[in-house]
Amino acid sequence: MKSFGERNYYNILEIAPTAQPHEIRRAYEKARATYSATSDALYSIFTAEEAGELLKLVEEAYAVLGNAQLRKAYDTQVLTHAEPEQATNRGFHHPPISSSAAPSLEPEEMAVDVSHLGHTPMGSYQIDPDFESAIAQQDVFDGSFLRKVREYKEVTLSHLSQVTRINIFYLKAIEENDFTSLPAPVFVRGFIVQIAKALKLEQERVAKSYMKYFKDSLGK
Amino acid sequence: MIWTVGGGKGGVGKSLISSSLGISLSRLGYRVILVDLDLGAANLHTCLGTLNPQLSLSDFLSGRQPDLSRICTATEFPKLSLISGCHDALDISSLSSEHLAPLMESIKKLSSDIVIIDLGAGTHFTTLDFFLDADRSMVTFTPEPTSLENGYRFIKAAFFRKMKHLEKKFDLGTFISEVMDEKNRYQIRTPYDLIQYIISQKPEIASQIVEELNHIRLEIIMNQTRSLNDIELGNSVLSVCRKYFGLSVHLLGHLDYDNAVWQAVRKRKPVLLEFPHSVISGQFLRICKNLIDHKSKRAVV
Repeated sequence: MKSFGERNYYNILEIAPTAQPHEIRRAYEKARATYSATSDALYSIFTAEEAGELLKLVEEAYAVLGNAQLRKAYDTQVLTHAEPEQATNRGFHHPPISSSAAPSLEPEEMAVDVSHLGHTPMGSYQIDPDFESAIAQQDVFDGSFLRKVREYKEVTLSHLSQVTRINIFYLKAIEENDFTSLPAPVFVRGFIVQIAKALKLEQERVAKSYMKYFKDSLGK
Repeated sequence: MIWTVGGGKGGVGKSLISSSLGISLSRLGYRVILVDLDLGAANLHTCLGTLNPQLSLSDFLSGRQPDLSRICTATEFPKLSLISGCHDALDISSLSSEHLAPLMESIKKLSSDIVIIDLGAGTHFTTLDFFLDADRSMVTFTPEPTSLENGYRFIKAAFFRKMKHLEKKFDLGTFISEVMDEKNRYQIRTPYDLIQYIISQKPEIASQIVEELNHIRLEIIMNQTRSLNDIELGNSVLSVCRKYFGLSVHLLGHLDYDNAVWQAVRKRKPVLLEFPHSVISGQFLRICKNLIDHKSKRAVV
């Protein structure tokens, strides 16, 4: 299965090196659906093990290409040395004649360090130890703190809305502590659990804290 | 232009797609000839309406009618004609390669804009050779594991058939067969790996081999989709084919499961004629326009 590693991240996600962020995102979602364990498309072609390997590559590719900074670093590292294989859908391209000129695209040799990356279902972000400990010590998870966490994890509102399936109007209201715009507490609790889950926070702790703040503010 | 419609499994819609594409293209102004190569199980004439062609492919294959163009039967669509496979001899499905070459040559000489060949199920060498020799090779899938398995199997068989041809053409001896057999020794699992290995081992002919393989233009149609997931499956199949085979693969589109199809078949009428306003009729037109746009784009480039 060595050959999978020889394809660059753009080939893995089947996008052009000029792809826009939303195209990368879409390609990633498609690839994840394709190589997940339950995908029918793999039947009789790839074993579960191979699919797992491909899925790992897909995640890795998205961790880099889905992040503007890392992508830039990757582009200068890899694509300027080897000609980018423009369109994966055009079949084969033979490798450069002199093998010494083409750097290996093995992930370990990349200068882009992916070990300091945190992941959310929406993408990856650079881990900041100070902020991580701030999250761990936070007592009151109100809307403004949730927004800080979301921004720290480089997640846009619309993206969060897609993943949690919560209307962006409610997400905004939650972040702005605009309680009059929110529905009944039982629904708000559901929203908070979904948001915490998406942002990889402790669901119970966040929900309990937010609901207490919410009910106190409403004077109930 | 020769287009073939294959799919490995029976009942995935090859004849429906061939006939409907033929009708749609003829309505768009192209002269189209449909060839029913599903020998031994031919029923393209039934898909086009209750035609009962007097002459069929077996007249050509047996030598009774050496001129293939005289076998063409007119249909009720002005620019569409059919070379039927009906009334065939019962042993016709075991056609050998010596019959095959003249048939392919005669098909290439037919005067029309597009020849659409409806292939049979299975991975018979005849089927594979026609599939590989075409300008466009379409593979029909339905969103069922049985169809996916046979469809993939069909592409695999075609791929290895092609590699065998290349082995002969470039006088590689048993190089490719060896690599294909000793999978463990060379760590070759997928056709993509095989190509990479050949390229690294035989750099002098690599570009020619790549050229030859790029000539195969696979196009996938996902038939009988019933949900959004089924439509997405088309995209997934596309991705898997690209990653596994490394060939040039495109997705032409999907066709919804539509009751209009079986209702039309029972009346022995083309669905496009019987239910012109059905969802599937619109989808056929869209696929056709896709096919033609690609062609004109390629012509410009």
